[in-house]
Amino acid sequence: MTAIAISNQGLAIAGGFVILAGLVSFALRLGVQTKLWIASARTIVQLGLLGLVLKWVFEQREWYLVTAVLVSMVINAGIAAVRRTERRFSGIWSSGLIAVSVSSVLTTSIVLTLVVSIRPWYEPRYAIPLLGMVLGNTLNGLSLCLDRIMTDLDEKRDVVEGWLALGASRWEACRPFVGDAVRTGMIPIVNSMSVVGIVSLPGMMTGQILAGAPPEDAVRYQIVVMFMIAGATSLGALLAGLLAFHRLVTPNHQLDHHRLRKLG
Amino acid sequence: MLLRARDLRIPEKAGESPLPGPINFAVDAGDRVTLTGTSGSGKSTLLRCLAMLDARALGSIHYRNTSVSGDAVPAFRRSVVYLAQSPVRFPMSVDASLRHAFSFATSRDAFDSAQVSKLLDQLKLSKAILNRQLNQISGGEAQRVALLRALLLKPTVLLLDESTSALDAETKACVVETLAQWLANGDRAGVAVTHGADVWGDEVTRRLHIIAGKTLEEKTS
Repeated sequence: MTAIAISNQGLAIAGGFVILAGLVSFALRLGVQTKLWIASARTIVQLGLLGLVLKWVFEQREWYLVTAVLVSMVINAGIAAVRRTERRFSGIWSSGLIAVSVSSVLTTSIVLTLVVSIRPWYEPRYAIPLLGMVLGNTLNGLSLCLDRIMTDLDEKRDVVEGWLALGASRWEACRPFVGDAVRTGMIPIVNSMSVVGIVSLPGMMTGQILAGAPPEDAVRYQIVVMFMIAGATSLGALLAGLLAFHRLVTPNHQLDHHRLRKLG
Repeated sequence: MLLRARDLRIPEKAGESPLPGPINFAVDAGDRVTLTGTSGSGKSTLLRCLAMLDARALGSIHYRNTSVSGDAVPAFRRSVVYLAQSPVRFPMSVDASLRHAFSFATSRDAFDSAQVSKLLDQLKLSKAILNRQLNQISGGEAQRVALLRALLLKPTVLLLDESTSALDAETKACVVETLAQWLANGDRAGVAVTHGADVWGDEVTRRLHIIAGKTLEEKTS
């Protein structure tokens, strides 16, 4: 059993919803019409292109093509995670990228090889959506974590330096802030794990059910995905927090807040 | 030689460095140094650099004739304690903040409640202050708590940045007396940034004046 394909006519009807949103903006003079048209156009173009690329990759089923897609997904996620933060330090891009790639690749490959046990591992129908789910959710936690540790080390530097001046090591002085940052990064996934199925029906499960999968199978997949996201987010946030710590605190146990700059 | 700074400087673009340097000077046991200078002359920055807290600083710091760097820094800061101009309001109670300083790996001694009581008396602080939050006490109280916390560590050198600025004359006298007692006890020394009356009382041994973060003038009195 497969899902009923959506006809062009059907797409056009769905487009009517965007026009409705535009009318609301126009009537209330919200001024977001232009943004709305551009966003809608981007949705069509980006997803259209994605569809073409995925179709091609699915047909070719070459490991190097799948790998190229996966790598570009990881890089984009790393950039997106850093871009959302309000402060920068030299090395923040590589830190974000390392945190995103290690955490997502580790969890996804374990799921692909040991949980779904798919052969070959690069089977694009599994590898690409699973990595995509993990990336889309971890980058949120990661940017929250990075933002929090940068804000704390910047705004509460008197506390950090106060402990350093009393003989604390850099880790002793910064540990509470690294901990707070990791905790902040994990809040979204912990929250969504507690309400999933009660308040929200996750997109992936919805998709599988629409595609004709038995709900109990879809549920199993969803549980695995939530756990993957939880693992990847905590690992990614921990890595991001530690990398930021190492960049901002010197081996001489000094807080180098001059490396931090606020955007805007 | 207890503490010595060699070629201390912060390399920044011309006109932007708070301490263009190079600054050289040494503190001997028994020294009670006052450091004066107009605002913006780099006296606070110099004091932070002496405690190795400024990551931009170049040059070297020597403690008891040994150059300090890397993982020797926390233990060095345990002996050479720096007190910031505005006392740090750690997010906890006064008591917790005093005890926390004894949880670090560099801490050799156990927390000494008797010593706390003694210092509270000397600094004219009531015992009840121990249970108050640091962000809820007055500026003058916070300055004395910061000094108490530093003295508990039994430091060899104290680097004080206007540590009595929020105190009235009477309380200031208690602080001067407490510091004098601490200094009298062994090979100790202090450097204090000060505007007017200084924390070493009449015992000042050296008066230094810093100009534009470059020159240290020794003033004879």
